[in-house]
Amino acid sequence: MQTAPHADLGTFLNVLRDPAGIPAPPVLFQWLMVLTWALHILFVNLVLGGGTLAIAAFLRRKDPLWGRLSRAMTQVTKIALSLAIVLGVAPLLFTQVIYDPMWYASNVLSAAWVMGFIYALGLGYTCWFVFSFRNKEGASAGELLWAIAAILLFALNGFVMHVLSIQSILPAKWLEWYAPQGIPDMSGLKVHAFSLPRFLFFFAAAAAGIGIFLLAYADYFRLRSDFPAPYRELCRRIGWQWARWGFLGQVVLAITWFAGVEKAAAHPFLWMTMIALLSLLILLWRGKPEAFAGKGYLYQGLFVVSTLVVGIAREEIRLGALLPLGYDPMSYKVNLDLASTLLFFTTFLGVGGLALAFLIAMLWQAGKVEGPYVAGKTVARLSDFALAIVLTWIAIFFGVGLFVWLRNFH
Amino acid sequence: MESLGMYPTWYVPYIGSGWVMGITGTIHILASHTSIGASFLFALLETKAYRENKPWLLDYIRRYGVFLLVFSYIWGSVTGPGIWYSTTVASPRGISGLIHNFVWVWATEWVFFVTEVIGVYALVYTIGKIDAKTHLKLTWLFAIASLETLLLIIGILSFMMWPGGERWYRTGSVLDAFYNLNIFAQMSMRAAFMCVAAAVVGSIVVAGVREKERRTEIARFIAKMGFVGLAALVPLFFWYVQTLPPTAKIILAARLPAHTSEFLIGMLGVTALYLAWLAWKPSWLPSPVAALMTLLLLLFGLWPEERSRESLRKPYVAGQYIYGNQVISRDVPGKGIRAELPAIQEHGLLALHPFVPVALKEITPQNRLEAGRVIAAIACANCHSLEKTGLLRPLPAKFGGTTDPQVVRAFLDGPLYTGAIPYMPAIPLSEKEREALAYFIAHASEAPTSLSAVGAKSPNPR
Repeated sequence: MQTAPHADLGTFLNVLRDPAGIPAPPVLFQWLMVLTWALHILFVNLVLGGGTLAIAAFLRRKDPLWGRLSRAMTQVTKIALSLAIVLGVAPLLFTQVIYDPMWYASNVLSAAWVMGFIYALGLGYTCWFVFSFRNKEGASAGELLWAIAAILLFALNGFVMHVLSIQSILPAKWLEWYAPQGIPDMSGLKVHAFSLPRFLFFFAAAAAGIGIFLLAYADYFRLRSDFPAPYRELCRRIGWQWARWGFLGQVVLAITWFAGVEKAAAHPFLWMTMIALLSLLILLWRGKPEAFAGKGYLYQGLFVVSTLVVGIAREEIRLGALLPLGYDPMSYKVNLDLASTLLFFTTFLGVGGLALAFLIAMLWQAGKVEGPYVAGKTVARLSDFALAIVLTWIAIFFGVGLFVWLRNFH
Repeated sequence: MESLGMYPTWYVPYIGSGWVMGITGTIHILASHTSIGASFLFALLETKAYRENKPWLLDYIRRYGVFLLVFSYIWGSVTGPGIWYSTTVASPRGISGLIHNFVWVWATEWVFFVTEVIGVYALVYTIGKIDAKTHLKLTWLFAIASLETLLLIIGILSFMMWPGGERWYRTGSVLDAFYNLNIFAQMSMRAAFMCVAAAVVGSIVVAGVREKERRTEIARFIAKMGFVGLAALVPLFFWYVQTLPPTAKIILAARLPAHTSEFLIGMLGVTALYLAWLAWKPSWLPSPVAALMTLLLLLFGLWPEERSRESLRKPYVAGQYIYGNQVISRDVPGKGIRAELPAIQEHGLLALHPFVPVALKEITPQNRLEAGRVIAAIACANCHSLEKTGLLRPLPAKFGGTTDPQVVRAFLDGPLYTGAIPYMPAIPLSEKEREALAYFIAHASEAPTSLSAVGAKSPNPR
């Protein structure tokens, strides 16, 4: 089957772009995509890492501290999964805006897997919920099957996303994959590209992510007497171990992954990724677990930064693959739409700033208190502002809506 | 000659990719509508608990909330992106058109989603842990944020039906697309349905309340909410019909999937009886009956309703400018979009499709059947199964199972070519393409039911 030459590929890819164009400069979508991807993957790390740790700790549950750690990680995984899904919607959206040809072609080529992804995720999520209901003190070993099934399904989800990402930046092969020997295969049953080091990199990131999370977790509960020191020390020790090995794995796998990237040395953020990961590895390798007491939030912050750097590196790899073919996301046709652009940014800042600030501040403070929590002045004010902003939003929505509707239809 | 921006085709034998979308969408709608309805039920119940000093009502909210986490926040939140994924693979240009018009609306909805998801966990897990007043505010915030996700998505869904006039095509403005003719009618109808869904699903949890008086009080409260929704649904439906495009009214009158009206009217009656029973004798309501009622609502209420809504849009998938088969049917000057039908008429579909192999761009007697299969998959399979026993308006059956290509040709050359049938797209294929498509359809009628119309097979030189 034919494979289009590079010069034609550029035309081919640009023709696939949506003729409607985009409502704001492409750079906005690119940055939002990278930022929200980083946010999403931080919670994916907690799902994969927390889930695996919950299983590992469950195996040692005869020790009450390990049993408690398993139950805690089970809950962390459950909530992180909800957040990973909802946060994943944003990068999924922004990818489709500026990289629509790549995303759609890659998805349709493996369509059955794409649909499998959704139902595997639902099934895995259900299994994890069952495990979270049953992982109580005295739980039998059989309950572990729910957790293992869930983790395997989540790994399958990771595999599908990984394949779609790689396929999407190999447009020269799409025609060959779609119509081998000139006969279109519309089943969507096949996957066509895979990179083991890149795939495993994200599992190493999950180990590092849950490790770092545990360092912060141990610090967060230091004032609560129902979180005794031995339990917090166990969390810190396990967190330290998982983070160290996780970062080591990330470093090794990043080298192997980047070695397969064309002109890798020319991409500054690939270097930055290596520097960030190596720095964190060295910092963690030097001290003992107790040396990290009180530094959990700092390391959490550093981990967020390193994840963001990985996100930018990913984007750099994508651009490195597509620009030489003649596809430049920055050249996307812009049909500026100020009203909807304003809608998003005002909501993002207003609702995101106040409603989410209220929820997060309230949960943060309530979690630090043993027993009932009474909101202080700041949280009470935030709650009033949050309600006011969402109600104002509705008033504007209907005010503008009725004006436009009456103007257009009456 | 430039290609059209068309993608590969995914085809699921017998059910078509359309049903995959439909199944995913129907699950999502039940889960999401229940969730939003329940969020208001929580807010109202908690206000009652606060004002009348009935903290035991919070226990019901907590139990319903945990149920909701599984029911709505697993399957609802998974099938939400699932709709995107299924439309991506079944109708990539349709979803692309929507995303490129409404990206900021979806991004705004995402802000509320995040608020909603954090809100539901906060709501469920802090009952009894934080002071009552703060919790009440949290519950109202959750309810309003949930409602705002609805307000935003309805603008997009209703645009899928049509913009309602010519203005959007000229301006390309998101406001003109979003506040289309259908939006407020559809929004109100869905809000009414949410009350019904929240009441029916909530009755599963009511059945678990042990104390009789408390059970009765909650049951009557939610039954009342359900009744309000149910009573509003009927007049709102008539308003909704008034805001539909003329093509949809024709389909509504004569071309809906079989027994749709019977199912929907029947479910209205069954739900009314069920809610009456819930209010009258809640102690006689075991959980399995409540669960069965939820299942009935899904299978005989939502499924036919969703199939009808999908049918009413025909032959378009978005804004009456993108056909179900991914072809752009008209100019949208406000966005600089050009109709693709003239190019297809001039050059043929296969020649312009970038994912059609070179060997099939030119139709010969040797590749005619394969070319016909590919044309059918591209141009027809979004709405029709290609097998004669397929479940989605099977193409061979639409031609009465004829094995004579000339009979099929008459249709392809006439009404289909010119777009004379309101619910069918215009497909102005080239002479040779029509011949190949007719040949394939006649062959599909002739072939045994095991014909795998999509399985890769060697060109048949028959």
